[in-house]
Amino acid sequence: MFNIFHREKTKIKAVSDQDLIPYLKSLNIYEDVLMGRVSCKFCGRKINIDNLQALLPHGQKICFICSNIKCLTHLHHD
Amino acid sequence: MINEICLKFGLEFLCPIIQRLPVVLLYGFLFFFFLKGFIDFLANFIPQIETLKSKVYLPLAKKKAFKKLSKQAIKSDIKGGVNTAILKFASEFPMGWLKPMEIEWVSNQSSEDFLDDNEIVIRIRPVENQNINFVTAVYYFLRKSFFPKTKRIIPESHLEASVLFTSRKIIQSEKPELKNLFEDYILEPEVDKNVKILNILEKYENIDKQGFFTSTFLREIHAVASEVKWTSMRSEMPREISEILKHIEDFMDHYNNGVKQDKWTDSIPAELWTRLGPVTNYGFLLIAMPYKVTSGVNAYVNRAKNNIQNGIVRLYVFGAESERSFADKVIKAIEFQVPEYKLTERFKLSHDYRGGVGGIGALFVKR
Repeated sequence: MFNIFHREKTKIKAVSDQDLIPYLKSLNIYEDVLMGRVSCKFCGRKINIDNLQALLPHGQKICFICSNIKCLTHLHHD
Repeated sequence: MINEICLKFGLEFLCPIIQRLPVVLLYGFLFFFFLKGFIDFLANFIPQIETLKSKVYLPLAKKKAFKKLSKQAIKSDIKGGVNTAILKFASEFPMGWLKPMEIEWVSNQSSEDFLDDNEIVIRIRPVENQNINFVTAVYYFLRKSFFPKTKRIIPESHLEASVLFTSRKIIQSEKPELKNLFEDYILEPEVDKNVKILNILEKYENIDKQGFFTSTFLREIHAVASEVKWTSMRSEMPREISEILKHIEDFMDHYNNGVKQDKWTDSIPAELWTRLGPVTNYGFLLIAMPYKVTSGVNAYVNRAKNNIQNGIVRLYVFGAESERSFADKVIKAIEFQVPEYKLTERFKLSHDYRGGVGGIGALFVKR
């Protein structure tokens, strides 16, 4: 059993498919994704609703990661 | 009218139940919500409960009528699987690396809040893709957990290989049916990207057979990375890692050759019991229970004292599973009789130095 008093956890933030569009709208980036105006930070592939896999904060910008697993494996934050 | 129907069919015993039906339903609902809250609370501490929940939710969530359960089903399945594995493996890894996982759903956030949070948001696919969701979550979770604060200093090939190696081990243990999916979906693309990883994975596999991967290798390179973080030695990390790996391999080779000839203690050259690196140094102390237990403890305490005299800062003490109680005695004796060393960690081993399943380890660090 986990130590009841040791409640520190590793949090993973996730968005489900059913919440994806409202979430993108709340971030004001839905139009950009819909119109194909953004691309994957790592491979440069155009991002659309189907191939969007992750969102990454980078400085003052929101970056997009595609569903190519090679791009997902670049993800890490200290 | 219901009473009349019951009497007509000779079911008069049902009348009082039917009359009290609203009250029974109310208590039923209250009991259900209380039970659900209690189970959710318990699931925080016993990850297997989360896995049980997912076994109820997942089949339901695949039916159209229960689509709303899909988020709960996905979360319970991933959290339950990952946390059960962590419960099993966490005590092998450096302290504080593997903490229980929590999935936090986001659905509404301003771009300012997203940037302030400075957290990656990953997309979790519908329940039909749950196997891919699971392997992705395990991989991403370990990628996030490994080498806290030193990630950027560890060379990418070793960072990647250690996460891949551990992900495969966890998936094989918890969901062996997903091992092939993991290899095709995550491992293969990574090897395509950097073929060197295969060679590194083979080496990890080899040192893990005698428990040195989690016990020594990960702890040592993390310690080196923490030391060189803000020094010019930072660029020496790749060489230092290769040398630590080579030292462990040489030590194991000599030990295994000695075991074959039935005299392993003499087969390891004196200089291989320790490694004096440019950044850190460490030594090994392998416990083997002697015929006279009391004198045996003293012999190990004396070796620990010798290590202090030789300037060894980090001393790893390993015991086999079958001799756990004697190993415990030795660890306690060193802790109390060698005050120059501080016991910083006690950990479990997947395999002991003889290659048997289980085992116990401890790390002493010079005060």
